[in-house]
Amino acid sequence: MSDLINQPQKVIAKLFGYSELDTNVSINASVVYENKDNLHCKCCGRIQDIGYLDPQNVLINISANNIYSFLNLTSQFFCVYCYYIQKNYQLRYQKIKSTDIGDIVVFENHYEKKEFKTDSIKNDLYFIFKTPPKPPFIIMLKEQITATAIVNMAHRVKPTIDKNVIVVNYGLTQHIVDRKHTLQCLKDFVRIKTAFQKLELKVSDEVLFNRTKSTKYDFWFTPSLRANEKFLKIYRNFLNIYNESTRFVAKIMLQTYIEHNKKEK
Amino acid sequence: MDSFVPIMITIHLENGFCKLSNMPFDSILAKLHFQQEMNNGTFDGDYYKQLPFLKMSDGIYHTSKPFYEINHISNETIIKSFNLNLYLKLDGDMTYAQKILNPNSNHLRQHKIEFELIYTDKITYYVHGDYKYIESLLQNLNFIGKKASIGWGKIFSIEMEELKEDFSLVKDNIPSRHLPDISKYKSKDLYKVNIPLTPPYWRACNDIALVSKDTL
Repeated sequence: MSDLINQPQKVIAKLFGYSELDTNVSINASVVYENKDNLHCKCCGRIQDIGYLDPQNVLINISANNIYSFLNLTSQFFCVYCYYIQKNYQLRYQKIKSTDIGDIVVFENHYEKKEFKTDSIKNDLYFIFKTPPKPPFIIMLKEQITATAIVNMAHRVKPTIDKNVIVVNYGLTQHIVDRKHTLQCLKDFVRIKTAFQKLELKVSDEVLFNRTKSTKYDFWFTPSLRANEKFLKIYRNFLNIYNESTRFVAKIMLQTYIEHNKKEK
Repeated sequence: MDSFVPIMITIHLENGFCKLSNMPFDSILAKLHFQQEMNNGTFDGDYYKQLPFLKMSDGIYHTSKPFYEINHISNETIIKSFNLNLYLKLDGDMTYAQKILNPNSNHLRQHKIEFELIYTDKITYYVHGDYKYIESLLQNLNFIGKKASIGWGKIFSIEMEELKEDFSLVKDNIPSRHLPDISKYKSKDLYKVNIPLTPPYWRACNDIALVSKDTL
């Protein structure tokens, strides 16, 4: 199997300029050239070929990686690819504010910058779902916590290996969704929206999709909706068919879907 | 092995909501089993060893994902903040620890975590295994899902019922969990994805499983 499936961190690090092992990292971390004991990396949790032995965790840059997101913190081994991404993370993300490691699709030998903004009418995620490229590939969407802080997620990514089940890596979480089912979710939503208009109900998109994930949800889910039996029946049916991840991914490309459908008509 | 029977486990929630993962029930049973071993002082530290009380075939345990009907959803936000006094009280080895210049900045800053809660009356799992042992393990299960510490997913009661048919892998021709990538299970609606076949399900691995829209 290819490196992109077994060692995605290796492919990402190489695409972002990794060429050789940096031996001068710290006096407290010894360099190991070959991982003969098949140790798991403390950061990505995978067995990588080269890296450092770092029993005291001196190589972890906590301002770049949230330590609680590490997959195997008890391990002594820190792979060279995770270290390289972590070391260059500040420079790439926060100083230049380039979105190099966020909002991209990574292939075996190259990567492509994409537009994944929710309010965009040219969201590339919709076109990936409509006509998926040849797997394996990795979809990475950055999660912006504050104006300056973006989560470094390269150590947690999962590759897409089948064009019908797409893994959307959003920040530190992975949303695994069925491609056709997600497109069906968008179709259903448009149909439901017209049904609501006929019932003269004012229903925000957020009620069904819950993209905001904030306490605002209670504001959208108004008392008149709570008491409306016809609405509740459609609402419960929609929630039971489409799970949280499917609704989340569908909402990202909703605007593009609506715009694209208008053009087709 | 002869004592293994198909079982339906129904969990009734006390306050009616929880934040539940869609992973099969063996992850919860494994946790309870290892906890019991720890209490008895017989645990050897191996979280990957085989669970002797569950039926296993083709590399997976016969346990299903949760089945539930969502009544409605809501959002909860938790704010996590760093407690400097508690950190110092723990009195750990600080030899290589970074100096804390400001306990409210950078990685120590407060941050929000947001969850989508599901409101449901009951959750059903299908299992094939040792009835008596699983019954004894479930006596120690008081909460289900995330954030038990603040009362989410408090269990009111657990019902166990012996079934004639095993629904833990397939129910009404629909898969009840993710299945191994072998020709026996292949069908047109099942697609490949890279997720672990046995617990712990959070780990990074190279297992290939077959999933459909019903199992995700």
